[in-house]
Parts: sequence; structure tokens; C-alpha cells
Amino acid sequence: MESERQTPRKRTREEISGSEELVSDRDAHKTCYVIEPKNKRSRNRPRRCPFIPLNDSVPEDPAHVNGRWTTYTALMPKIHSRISSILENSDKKTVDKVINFVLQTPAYEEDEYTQLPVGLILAGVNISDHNRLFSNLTSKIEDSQDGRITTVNVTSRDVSNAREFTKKIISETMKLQPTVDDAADEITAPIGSSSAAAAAGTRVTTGSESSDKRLSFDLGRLVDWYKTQPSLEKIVVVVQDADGLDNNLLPEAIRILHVYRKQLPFVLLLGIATTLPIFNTKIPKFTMRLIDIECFDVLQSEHSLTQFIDHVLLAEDMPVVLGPRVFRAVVKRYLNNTKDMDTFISAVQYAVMAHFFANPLSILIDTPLNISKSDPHMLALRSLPSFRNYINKNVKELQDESPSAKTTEDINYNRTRINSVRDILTDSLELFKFFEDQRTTLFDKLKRKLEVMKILAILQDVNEIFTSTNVKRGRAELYADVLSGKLRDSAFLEELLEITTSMSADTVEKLARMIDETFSDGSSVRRMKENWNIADFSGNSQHGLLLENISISLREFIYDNLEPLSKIPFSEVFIFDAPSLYQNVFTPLYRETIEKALRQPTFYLGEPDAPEEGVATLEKPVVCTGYSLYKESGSLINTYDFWTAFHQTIAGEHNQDAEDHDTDEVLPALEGEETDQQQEDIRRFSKAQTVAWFYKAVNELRYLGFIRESTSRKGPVSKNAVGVLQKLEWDGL
Amino acid sequence: MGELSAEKLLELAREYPARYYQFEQLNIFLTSDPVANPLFLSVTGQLSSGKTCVLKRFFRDTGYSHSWISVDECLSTRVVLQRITASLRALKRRPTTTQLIEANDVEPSASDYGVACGSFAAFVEQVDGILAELRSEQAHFVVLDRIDQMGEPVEALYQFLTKVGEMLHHVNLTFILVSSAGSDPRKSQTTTYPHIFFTPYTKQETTAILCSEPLPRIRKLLPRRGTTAFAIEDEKLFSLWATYCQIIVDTYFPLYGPDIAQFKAVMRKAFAIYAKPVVEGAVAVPASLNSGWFDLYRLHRPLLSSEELISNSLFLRVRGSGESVQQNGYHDMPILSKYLLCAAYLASYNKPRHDVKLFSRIRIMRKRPRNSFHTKYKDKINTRILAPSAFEYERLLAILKCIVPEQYDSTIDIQTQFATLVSLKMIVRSGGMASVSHLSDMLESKSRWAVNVAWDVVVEISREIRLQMDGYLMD
Repeated sequence: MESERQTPRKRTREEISGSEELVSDRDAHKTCYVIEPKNKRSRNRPRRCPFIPLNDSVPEDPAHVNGRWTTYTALMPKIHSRISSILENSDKKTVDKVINFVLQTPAYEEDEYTQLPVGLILAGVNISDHNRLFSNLTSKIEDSQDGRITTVNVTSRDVSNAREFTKKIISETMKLQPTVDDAADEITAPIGSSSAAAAAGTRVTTGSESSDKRLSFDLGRLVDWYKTQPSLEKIVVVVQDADGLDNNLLPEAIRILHVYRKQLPFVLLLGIATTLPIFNTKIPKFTMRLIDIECFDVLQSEHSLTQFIDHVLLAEDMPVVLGPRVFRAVVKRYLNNTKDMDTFISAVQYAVMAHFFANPLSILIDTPLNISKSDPHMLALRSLPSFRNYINKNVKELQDESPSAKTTEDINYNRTRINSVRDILTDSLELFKFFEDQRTTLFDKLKRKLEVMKILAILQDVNEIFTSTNVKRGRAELYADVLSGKLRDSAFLEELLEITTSMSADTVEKLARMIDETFSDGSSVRRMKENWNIADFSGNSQHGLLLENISISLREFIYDNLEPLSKIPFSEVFIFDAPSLYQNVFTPLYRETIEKALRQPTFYLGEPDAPEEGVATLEKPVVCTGYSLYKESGSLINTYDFWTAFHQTIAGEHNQDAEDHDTDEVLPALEGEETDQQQEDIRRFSKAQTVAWFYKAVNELRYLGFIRESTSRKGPVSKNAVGVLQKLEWDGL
Repeated sequence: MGELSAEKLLELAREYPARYYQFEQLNIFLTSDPVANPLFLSVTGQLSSGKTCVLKRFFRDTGYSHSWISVDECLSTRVVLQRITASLRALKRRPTTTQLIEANDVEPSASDYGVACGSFAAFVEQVDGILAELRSEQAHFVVLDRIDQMGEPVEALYQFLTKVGEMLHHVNLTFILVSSAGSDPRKSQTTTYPHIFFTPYTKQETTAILCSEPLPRIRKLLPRRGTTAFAIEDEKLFSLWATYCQIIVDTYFPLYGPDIAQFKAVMRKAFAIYAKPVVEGAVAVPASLNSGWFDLYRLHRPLLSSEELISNSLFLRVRGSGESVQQNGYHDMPILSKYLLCAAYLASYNKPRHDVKLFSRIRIMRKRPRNSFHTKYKDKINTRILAPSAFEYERLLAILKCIVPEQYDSTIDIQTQFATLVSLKMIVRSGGMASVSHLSDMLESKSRWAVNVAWDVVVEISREIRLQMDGYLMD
């Protein structure tokens, strides 16, 4: 085990040193990094199965491991293609809207009072995705109109003032290469500076006056160029991160584009990561007069989430179900921390992978018949808690009933039940049959549950009273509660059903229409709706009857399908519900990890090698010693005390006898008056070396943010004291 | 061509209400004789008080040789100087046959920009050279329009241009500087050069100007049914427009004053809605301002009294126009990001020594200091007006822990959100990395930050997460 842990660590370190630098600062917003090794294996070769045998629970041979791997690899492309189609669809809508907007912006028609068209693109708070989104957007805008529109992509990193902004627009539009002239540009040179004047002087004297010497940020160049481009209709300036622009740059940029709108057909697109009200504070009122605004929502996250749940998670051919606890954790992180579809999707994908990786029974999802009867998998299946519960329940019922069984029919029935239970427990083939039955029930129930969620969504939409008083719960909020059955008897559901008893005729009609739109012909909900016979109950007197009918059938339908899935035998095979696995990967607790590493360095470093003869080594890094001393101390540590304790600990680690010595005796040892006994103890660590270690430990602790130098100068002693940062700051809070 | 006659002046006065004296003054000051011209002329007046159009019309009618430079298009002084020389060089290619020339026809071409004007001295040398080549006996005017809107300080340029005529060897060049009132540099206000002041329009004059919009342009503003415009006779359209002007001016004059540009923008926005009932035949065209327009006014009272037309708020405007935004909801920040921002605000506007009082869960400690004699009479500045003070990252985390009602794990997500807020410039690093010596160490564990968001935004956010900001602020 130890060797396994060590090898990947070593490799990673080599890769880090060899890998290229991070692409940009944008990477700082990622929560995790993928290091791609330089020697990539060729793509043609199939990937080796990375799963490991899980011998602790089920003794597996390589075929089983491979089986899980192939099932997983067969499943993933399906999921991927569906996800990308959902994302592309929502992206495509926005891009189409933006292109439409760009095309429809009015040309400047000699009317001085037209405003500069500005499109605000609300791209969500997750900045790391914006690069992809905007490069996609610009390329699509350019491609779709074959040369009628040109785009310029500007980021706050490229430009820091208005001149650089216009320079970037000019060079990008005219497809200029930066020349040597541009490098020695006059942007930074102040007017009247000697070099510039000299340069101008020489130019006059040399007489090379026919060439265009306009400055690189003079939009006059672009105006002349535009006159030679009859096919060009719009120049779209895309500012990807409008929030990050310097304070005065955005108003200035808008002013410049506004001034030139007579001569150049500018359209400005601003990407906004914050919300509209916050962005509003960044635009002065004067600038607001110059622009004509249109707003675009890039990814309607709520809508995409619903789509994702309907078409990926609860799709009919999805063999794995995401359990309510995992789902709740994922959604919580989405709402609280990220608000980002991509992280949500990758979390779900990881959960699916983890199921195949960590659950040996997941092989049964696809290829149950390949397993021989004597396989240990049978044993594992029979020891699943859900299966045991089922058997126990059956046995208990049979025991309770058997004395009271009177008729022969009952006895016969009980006998068959006893037989079937016995068969399941002894015969593998029967078990398989039972397993298949349970699989179909589980996915049947899941389908019902999706219908329940859709019905609940419709009910929320239909009732105006409900939506005005309550917060609507979307598919993502309902999913976990419906799957776990927690919704049963909840105030939310009761209120919703209560309202159905007092619907108006119009509302009933609307309800019927929405059911027709949502559910396909022949589904159970449609059948239920047809049983209401809405058309027959026209008129006031019968309306009450109809409502009663509707609400009772709705209540029955919903309550029938709120059973928790985990009660179905073998549900563990299909449902992945271990939130801790997910949390450990996606939201690592950095502080705890660091503290654990300091407390118990062997966890990460492994046991140290046996020390060579005559070479002094420490058992653990010095910072760990410093850390344990820091944990023992109060909110202020005197540096001398710290040092004394440190020295003593280092010395004590290597000589158990050191405990016998008094502190007083160790202290003088530092001054150089070592006794013979101690001389022997501390011989291997000279004073100079220990001091060096001490400095190292203190500085490393400071770097990690545990301690800092105390700034108060109340006494002569405190000058040498270090404050314990965490304890100082968090004391009493 | 040439000097304007008295009849012509009267005619122009009819066309340009309230601008008779300005035309007259221009006519007196500027002549085709280079010796009689001043070297410099300043034209000032409020925003959109007709400076540009009066000057343009004057030059068109007199036919004086001039070059027109819109300074607001130039980003720096060098560009302005370069454009002046280029326009002068373009004069060389002017046909010499006619006596008085339409200088507007000669646009400077790319080759005219062959000289870079690095400094004022080089500029003087350049211009002298060009004028010597031209050997023109005619006066030439260089108009620098909107010189106050260049985008960088203009004082040096302004000072230079007042004096440049004296530095040149040729006297036939006159600079005319057009700027909005108040931006005329103080030093040049007392110069002996002529100033022409454009008085603000009165309410009646404003209405008259707005009414004089050409009919084809008004027709374009009419609402459209599909692709075809509604048919309406010229007379009716004009009387409709006249009543509309009167209503708009009456409503918004107290707000905008005589800012014609603002009025025109507002009128363009609302005319389609205003004219709709009329062109559809629901309401008769008002005959005059005295009768028949009340029905129309009553119909549009909500439109005219709402803030939508004049609102300077982006949020309101988007909400008002785009229904889709309202339906789908706009992008929101994650909940913990909002808490982080509030915590950053609290950390910036509370002193660290009050932290225990404000955030401690121990009741006794939370008691507020009473308004004692000292605090009562001390001059206190509202802290919200002051700049945010810097705080340490750890303090932010500690405050965050106190204001978030639920237990949360301090995972990597918090740091990611903090980094995101920093790159959105909502939290900024305080103290430049290089300016303070101990901050220059990148490995230093201590880092200081400050919030960069105004109080109203923070209040808005705190309301969304139901956080009582007042309870945590020392005021």
C-alpha cells in the first residue's frame, strides 16, 4: 500500500517541474488542476483499465475489473453527447439572439441623436468559462455572416487605457501585425519629450513625408480603411470582462466609440460576470445617455438544470441513479459556491465514475449473466442491506401469519412465498431472476417519480395563488426530496394539494392543457387526466365534484410514488449515494489537510528509511515539531521560550533518557556549558544546526499563516514574541 | 459669398432662433482679410447650445477657407496637432482657380499624415513651412470643435493655441476654439482675444428649435405596422409633432434645462408610442395646442410621468424594455459570494478593535457603547463616506464565519470565490505590491485587502440573503 502511494507522488512532482507554466491568471479561478504528462501515449491505443480490484468486499479477478471498466466506458459517451447537446442548444439560442441584435442595430443615418448599441451579455459568475464562451461567440458571429461582420475581442488584461483600447481595435480589425514601429510607440512618450521631438525633427529633414505617420491609436486610420471595405457592415467590439476594466476605461471607451459611430459602424458587446445592479454602479450617468442597451442571458441555469435532470439523470436508458444525498450535496455546492453548470456536470460525471470504481457489484448493471453461479458476487448480493431487509420482512410476515392461516388458499399462498424466498436464498438462477425483476421495478418507479416531479412543476405553474405566496421549487430542489420520499406530508406538498381543491374552471382547463403538452399519449398521467372527464363536468354545480375527483386522484398518484427507492432490494447496485466520496474530491478541506500533514507527516510522506550510520536525520520535518509546540502554546509565544522548547524536543526525540533531565539543565546547554551526558545526547545535532532548524520551522509556520511577528511594543520582551495568528484573530469570535 | 449681409443675418436668425447676435459677432470678427482677423477666437456656451451648427452654417454661407477638427475624436494632443497639419497640407492640393474656396472639399488623405508632430515646437516649424509653401493671401480658419472633450487634460494645448499665432511668421491663420462653458481654462479667460458666448435657450426657444425638425425625419419615427409605415398628411404630422414638442418641453424642461440633445433623445424614444393612437385613428389629430390635444395627453399620462424615459439606471431600462430578462431571472451570484462581499464590507468599515463587540456571541460583550459625553460632541464623519480601510484575509474569514448562519466547511471553494471577487474588482488588494516594502514579498502570509463596492450595492445584496447589515456596523 505504501509503495502504491509513493509512486504517483514522485511522478507528479517530476511532471510539475517539467510542465509548462500555467496559461494565464485565469487558471487561478479553477478549483483543481490537471497536469498532463509530456509523453502522451498515442491516441490509437485503447486506455488501460485504471480500475483496481476491490478485494476487500468481493474477491475479483481481472475480468471483473475489466467488466466494470467496459460498462463504464460504454456508458460515458452517451452521457457526454447528451450533455453537450443540452449545452450547445442553450448556447446556440443566445448566440443567435446576439447575431440578430448585431444585424438589426440601426446604421447611423445622419441623425446625431442615435445612441451607441450595446449588448450586455450576462455570462455568469464563473470566470474560467468565459474564454471558451466568448471565443465561441465571436467565431460564430464572424462565420455566420461571411465577412459582413468583423469582431474584436478585448480583455482587461490587454488594455489598461483608452489608447491601448483603440489601438487594439485598429490592429485587430485591419489585421495588422505589430511592427517595430509600434513597439517604439508614442503611446507612452509624453508630448515634448526630447526623443520624440528629435524623431519628429529627423523625419522632417529626411523628407519621407509621403508615408502615413498617424499614431497607432488614431481611429482615423480605421476610418480610411473602412472606406475601402464596401462589404463590411458592422464592427463588433467584444469586451469579455467588462467588470475587470479599470475604473475610467469603460466610460472613456464608450465615449470614443460613440463619437466615431458616424464614421464606423460600431457595436459594443460587454460580458458581465456580476449582476446587473452591481454593473450599473460602474457606468456613470453621463455615459448611460450615450448607449442603447439590450440584455442577453447566456445560460439560463435553472432551465438547463431541469433539462439535465430530465434528459440525462432520469433518462430511460441511464442505468445508474444519483442518490438523494449525493444530489443534495451537489446542488448545495452549486447554489452556495459555484453557480456553474460545468462544475455541476463534472460532479455528476464523477459520481457515476465513482460508482463503477468503488462498487464491485456495479458489474451487474450491464452483464449479470457472465458471472458464474458460484461467484462471490452472489454472496455479496445476498449480503446487501436492502436485500436482507426484504428477506427479514418476508420471514417475519410469514412467521406472523402462518399460525393464523385458515383457508387452504392462504396456506398455498404462504407456501409459494416460502418457496420463493428459499429459492432466492439458495438458487443463483432464481436470484438472478429476482434481481432482474427488481431492476425493472426500480426503473419503473423512477419513471413515475419523474412524472411526479413534472406534475408538481405544472401544479406550481398553474396556481397563481401558490406562486405569489411561496417560493417556487425547481426540478433540482425537488429531485432529492422526491427520490428519498421526504416530500411525503411536507407542508409544501400539502399546500399544493390543498389549492387543487379550489381551482377555478379556467385553471382546470390550463392544467389539462399543460398535462397534454408535457406528457406523451398513453402515459399514466394522461390516462388519469382522461378519467377526470373534464368536459362532462361543465357548469357550476358539478365543478365541486370535478375538483374533488381531481385532487383525490392527484393525491393518490403522488403519494403512491413517493416511496423511497432505497427500500427496493438491490437498490445499492444502481444508486450511488455516498456524498463523502464526492466531497473529498471536489471540496477538499485545505486547512484540515495541512494540519493533518503537520500533525502526522507519515500519512503523506511514508515511513522514513532506516538512517544510515553516522548521519544525523530527523524523524519528521522540523515544521511539524514547531507546529506541535505551537498547538501547546497560548496566544502569545515568547521567542526564547519557543526556542528552548524546540531545542529540548529535538534533543528529546533522539534520547528517551532526556526526559530525566531537568529543563534547567538543558537551558545552559544552549549557552555552551554542556554536561557530558547531554553532550552525548545532542552530539549529533550541533547547536548551530538546531538553530538553523528552528529558524526554518518558525519561518515555515509564518509562511503557512499560523504565526506572525507581534507588532505591539509594550515591553522589551514582546519584541521577541511571535503572535499566534489563528488564536489572536479567532479568539472569542 | 463673403461677408454676410444684413438681410442674410435676419434670414439666419429666423432659421436659428436666438442666435442672431452670435452670427453678427462672427460676421464682425472674422473676415477674409488676414490682417484684420484676430489670431485666436474662443466660442463658449453650454452643452448643445448650437455652437457647432452655427459655426458650420457661418462658414458655409461665407465660404471662408477653414479646416474643421473634431477634437473629441482625438485621444491625445499629438493627434490634434497632426490633424491640424494634415488639414493644412491638404490645402496644397486645392484648386487655385477660384478665389474663394470650399476647403471642406479637400479631405486630408493618408499622405498628408506623413508628419508626426512630436512637440509644440515641431508643430510651429511644420505649420510655418506649410504656410510658406502655400503663399496664400487668404485668411484661413482652424476650428477645434469640442476641445474640452479630448479625453486628456487640455490646459497645455489651450494655452499653446492662444499663443501660437504670435509664434508663426504668417498671420493668415486664425484658431477658433469651441468649448462648453466652465471648461475654459481660467488663465485664458482674461486674455484680450474675442470670446463669443452662446446664451442658454429659453423654454420658448427650445420648443421652437425642437419643432423645426424636418418632416421626413419625423416620418421615420412613426410607428410601423409590419414593414409599411402609416400614412399621414404632412400638415397633420406637423401639428402632432408640435403638440408633442410642447408636452415634452413642459414636462422635462425643469429637469434638462435647455439641453437640446437630451430633449431630442427623449423625443425619439417616445414618439412612436405617442403617435400610435393617432395614426391608428383612435384619437383625432390635435388641431393646435389650445384645443384637441387633451385626449391624447390623458391617454399618455402614465408614459410621460413614469421614470422610464429619463431613467439613467441601466437596471431599470433593461427591465423596462426587455421582458425576457424579467421572465428568466438574471444571473445571480452564489450565496457564499454574497456573504463574502458583505463580510468584506464589514471588515473594511469596522475597526478591528470593535470586532469582539460586534461579532462575539457572548451577550455581555455585544452591548453597544452608550452615547457618552465624549462621543456626543465629537465631530464624527460618517464612515461610509470615507474610503474603505484595509483588512487582513484572516479577519475576513473570521467575520464570514460569524455572519453565515449555517455551518459551512472552509473548503477550497471559499478561496475560489474570493479570487473571483478580486478579479471582478469587487475586492481589491490594498497597498501596491511594490509601494510598501513588506508587501513586496509574494510569499508573505499576510495580505491586505479592501472592499470596492458601494454601500447601496452591499445593502441590496444583504437584503437578498436576509442579513441585517446594520446590526454589525458601528455607526
